[in-house]
Amino acid sequence: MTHRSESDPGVFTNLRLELRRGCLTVAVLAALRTEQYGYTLRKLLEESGLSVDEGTLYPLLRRLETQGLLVSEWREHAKRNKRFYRLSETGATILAQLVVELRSIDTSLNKILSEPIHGIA
Amino acid sequence: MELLDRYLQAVRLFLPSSQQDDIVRELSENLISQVEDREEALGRRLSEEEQADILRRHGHPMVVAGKYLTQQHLIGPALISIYLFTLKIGLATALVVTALIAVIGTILHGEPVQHAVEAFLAYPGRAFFIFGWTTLVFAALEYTQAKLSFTTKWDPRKLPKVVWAEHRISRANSLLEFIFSIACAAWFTLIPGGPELLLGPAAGFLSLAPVWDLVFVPIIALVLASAALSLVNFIRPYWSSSRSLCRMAIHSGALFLSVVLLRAGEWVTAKPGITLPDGSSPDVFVSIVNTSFEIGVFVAMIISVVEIFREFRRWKSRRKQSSPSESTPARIAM
Repeated sequence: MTHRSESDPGVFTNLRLELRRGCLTVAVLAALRTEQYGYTLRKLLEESGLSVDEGTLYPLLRRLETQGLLVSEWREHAKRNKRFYRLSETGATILAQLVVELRSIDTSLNKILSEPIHGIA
Repeated sequence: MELLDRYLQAVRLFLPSSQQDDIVRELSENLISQVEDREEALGRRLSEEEQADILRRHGHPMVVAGKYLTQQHLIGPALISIYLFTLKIGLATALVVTALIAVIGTILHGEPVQHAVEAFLAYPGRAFFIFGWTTLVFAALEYTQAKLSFTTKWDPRKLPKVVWAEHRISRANSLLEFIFSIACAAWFTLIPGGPELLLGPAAGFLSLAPVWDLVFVPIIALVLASAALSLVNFIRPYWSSSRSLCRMAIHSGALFLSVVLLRAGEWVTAKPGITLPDGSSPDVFVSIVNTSFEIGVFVAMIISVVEIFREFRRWKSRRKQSSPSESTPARIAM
């Protein structure tokens, strides 16, 4: 059996991506309680400390719209047509449930991390 | 914005046709916004290199388009293991078929080297055929996977029983046994029409005794049963009590046929009115061949007895290990 080094940045990057993937969905849904178009949404997330590349964000917006969590419409803004997204009613319900779940995970994680480390007797 | 147009055109190429216009329009708007923001910050128009940098950071057109596809892999994690298993079985079967064609061709027409070379050259084509079709079928299954429920509706009680390391059967051995058994069955089938396959050049003045007419079909049936068991062992590579019993039955059948052959007392006879090239009678030669057969059949009989005994012991040992009190997780074959 081979072990990758603890300092292998690839391992950390992959785990970080996995960790962020679910949180990003919650963040996008939360940010879209106010109507945004793709570019401004990305900037908003970035300013909140959650930078995300376009290649991830736009397909995610489409998936969430297909799942009925977002609604979108093309509208003129600053003399150009842009696609605006906002949270749907279903999206708001799901967001509330996800936030509860996220907080529950956070509480559990804090509890586990605060417990002293002990081995198996 | 020539670079942007070229980029969007490249992305469009890989997008699902029904969404091409919509996605490209949105990407275009967002990229233009990005460029304009940057230009505003710098107070000047962006150079071609700076535009290229934005596009480069946005991602390769193929990768960007790929993220919009609902199915991003040909065969997903739910099916990959069974796909690989099926592929292995398929490729091994193609190997067996190729080897059999070579063996049968050699038996019928001689020239083993030519048949081996032909088989060697034919296998990649057959393997590619198997690979292509297996992949195609599993890709179709993946596509319709949502309708399949086998990964969600399953019963742990229907999983195969625990296999101990000593019960494992080598798949390579099973494959070789299968090939050998099929080749033997083909050989035995051809002997009645061509006794030289058994007697060699001596078939010119020797005939097979009538006892062979009695045993040929049972021998072929036993060899085919052995081939079938090897195939089962190849697919499910561990011994079970039922398979031990099958093996004992096959060895018992072989023992019975050995006894029938041994009781015949005569396995070859001289063809009437034929003399050896030196003008002598073939009787002495017949006697030598019959003695050789007698020794051979006797040895086969002893081997069958030994194998029955060994298999019986294994069967008893497996039955004992099957009881929960004998279970030792450390010995489970992984």
